Amino acid sequence: MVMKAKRNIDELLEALKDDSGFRVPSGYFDALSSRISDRISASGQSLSWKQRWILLPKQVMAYSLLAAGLILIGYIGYDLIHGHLPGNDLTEAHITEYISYQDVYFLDFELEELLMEVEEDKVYDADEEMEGIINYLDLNEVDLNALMNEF
Amino acid sequence: MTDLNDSELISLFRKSSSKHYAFNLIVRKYQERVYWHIRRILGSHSDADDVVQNTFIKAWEGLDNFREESKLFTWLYRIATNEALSFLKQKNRFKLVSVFGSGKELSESLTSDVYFDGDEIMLKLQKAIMSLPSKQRVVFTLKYFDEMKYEEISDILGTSVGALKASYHHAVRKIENYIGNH
Repeated sequence: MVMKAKRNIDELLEALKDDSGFRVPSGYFDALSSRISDRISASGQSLSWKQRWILLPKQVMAYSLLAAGLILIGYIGYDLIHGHLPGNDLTEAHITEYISYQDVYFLDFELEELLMEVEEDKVYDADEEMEGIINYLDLNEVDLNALMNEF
Repeated sequence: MTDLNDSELISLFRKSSSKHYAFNLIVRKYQERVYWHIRRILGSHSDADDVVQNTFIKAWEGLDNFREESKLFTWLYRIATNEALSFLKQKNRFKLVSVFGSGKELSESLTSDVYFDGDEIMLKLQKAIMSLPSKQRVVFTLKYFDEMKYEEISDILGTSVGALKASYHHAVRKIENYIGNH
């Protein structure tokens, strides 16, 4: 009885190989490859930044990486040579010390103006510190040579 | 259908001038086998249609890196199987049903599929197959319908031959029980 039932199932399963009962729409396989091609073309037109990056020519990628590396090295090198430069923490004492170190003398009112700017929290950037002073003197038409001669 | 063998098709694909042409030939060569493999796992035509397209798109993206250590056909089957199982997983996650409970739902969906017109016995058999856990169903269909050797199935699924034999044996027993009880 069990053997007979098993044989029936085997026969039924064997029949499924010839006809599973599954169907597809008419002409489905004729059109499938072109539908897939269309999707591939469409996805090629809307590549993500990641895919675009991968597809970039190797030379362009190499030059970009080289440029980024040089900028980074330059930045680190500059920072190492010039040290960490003061910003907001620039105090009146720093300025006075700097000026005396540079052996540059200001008239009292000029120094006062300069120190007022520091009090107003104006930031003197690393590069701009000396340049800022020179600009200040220039803008106020202070003759540096005359100043030096005077003192 | 093309007369070119797989190696020739892959070589043609790797030339940028004939890439699309070669891929089109690959799709035409394998589309039916891949589709039916997916359809037997998923049951529904519309689901199988989505997955077969995704399978070939994945193949398009990965074919440049295909090292020909396995047959192209085996590689395509591996992608198709993964895509079909991922599809089921996503579908089940959306419905908050476990992977192991999905077979029953799939077998019920056969009744409403307009692209299934088997008689009552066919429906019963398909339902029995669909009631298997998804991975066991994959093993059963690859062995029974695609008549693959266990070694080939092992290459596709990355499962040991021994485990596959046991899985197939359990699948057959479950189908027999299902038919006996319904």
